[in-house]
Amino acid sequence: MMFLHDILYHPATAMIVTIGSFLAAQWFQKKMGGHPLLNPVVMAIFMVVIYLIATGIPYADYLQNVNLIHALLGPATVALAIPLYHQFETIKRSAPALLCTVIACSIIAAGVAYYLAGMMGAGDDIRLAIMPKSTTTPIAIGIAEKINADTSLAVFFLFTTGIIGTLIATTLFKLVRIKDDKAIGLALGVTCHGLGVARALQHSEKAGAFAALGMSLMGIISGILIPVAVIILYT
Amino acid sequence: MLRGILLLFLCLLGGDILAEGLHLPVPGPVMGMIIMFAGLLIRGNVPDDLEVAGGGLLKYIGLLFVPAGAGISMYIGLIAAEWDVILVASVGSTVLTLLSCALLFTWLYNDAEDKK
Repeated sequence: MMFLHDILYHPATAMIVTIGSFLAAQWFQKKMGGHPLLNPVVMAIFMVVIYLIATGIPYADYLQNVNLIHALLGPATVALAIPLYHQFETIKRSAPALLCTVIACSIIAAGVAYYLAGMMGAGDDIRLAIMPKSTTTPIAIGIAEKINADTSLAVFFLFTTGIIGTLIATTLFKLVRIKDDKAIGLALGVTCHGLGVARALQHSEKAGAFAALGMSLMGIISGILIPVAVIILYT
Repeated sequence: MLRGILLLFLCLLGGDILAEGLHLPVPGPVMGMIIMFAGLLIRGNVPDDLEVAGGGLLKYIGLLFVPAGAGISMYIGLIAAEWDVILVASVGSTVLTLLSCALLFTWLYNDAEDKK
């Protein structure tokens, strides 16, 4: 019994549970035909949460043991410059329409969430953490740190948004008769970040490219606009 | 590979210093991305080393979200208490953002094409 206890609380177990959960979730989604509800990131998070609740290991201790993974978020954000550069020709061609759309949507995504949460009686902890909900995770964490919001809660809202968005997008676009792959891809990437890019790639290569572009631009623009908006709102 | 990793961390450091030093309302990693993007534009191509390192990171970017995401374990109580707020704000803003983005881009893009 002592032996099992040692295994469960060993620092290496945190890494094994994290990587193992992700690989298992990836394998399971593939096995089930790539259903968007079976998002591997979300499933891996739920598995780690179950591990933490079952063992009673404090989140701070867990985070310290998996810092090797967590610390890579920074360089991964920098690496987003690579796909952005690859698509530079496409960016230039539709640049004015693209830029106006993403700037407007950056304000809509954060603003509507902020005011809806306020309307429902939420406090500042929730209202601030929900603002970067449509940006890609490393950027959302950066924004949350900048505006003194809880990073984990921000990531929670970001994944809620990603899952809801990828599930309802197809139905929504049919309702308003949007058939252009550029618009579908852009909307998915802008609203649902990485999860939207994955969903758009199932649609077509063009939609996937515009989703990656939308995600990158939304990240950069929101990274600038949200902290500015918070300074304006709270001074 | 190693030179690519070095470049990524150099841009990250540069971005952090620039964002903090100039008190820019931009997260350091985002500033680092902008620096790297500018560097790639000036250079005119992506160095092989960087493509390998950056591509490898982006391939497993999903895994990198898991430690941060597991932080929701601290908010189970909050989620149980405020599920209605979370649901209305999340669904409402997600639907509005998806629709306004697709419609606005279609409208602006077609308008620009018509004028050509």
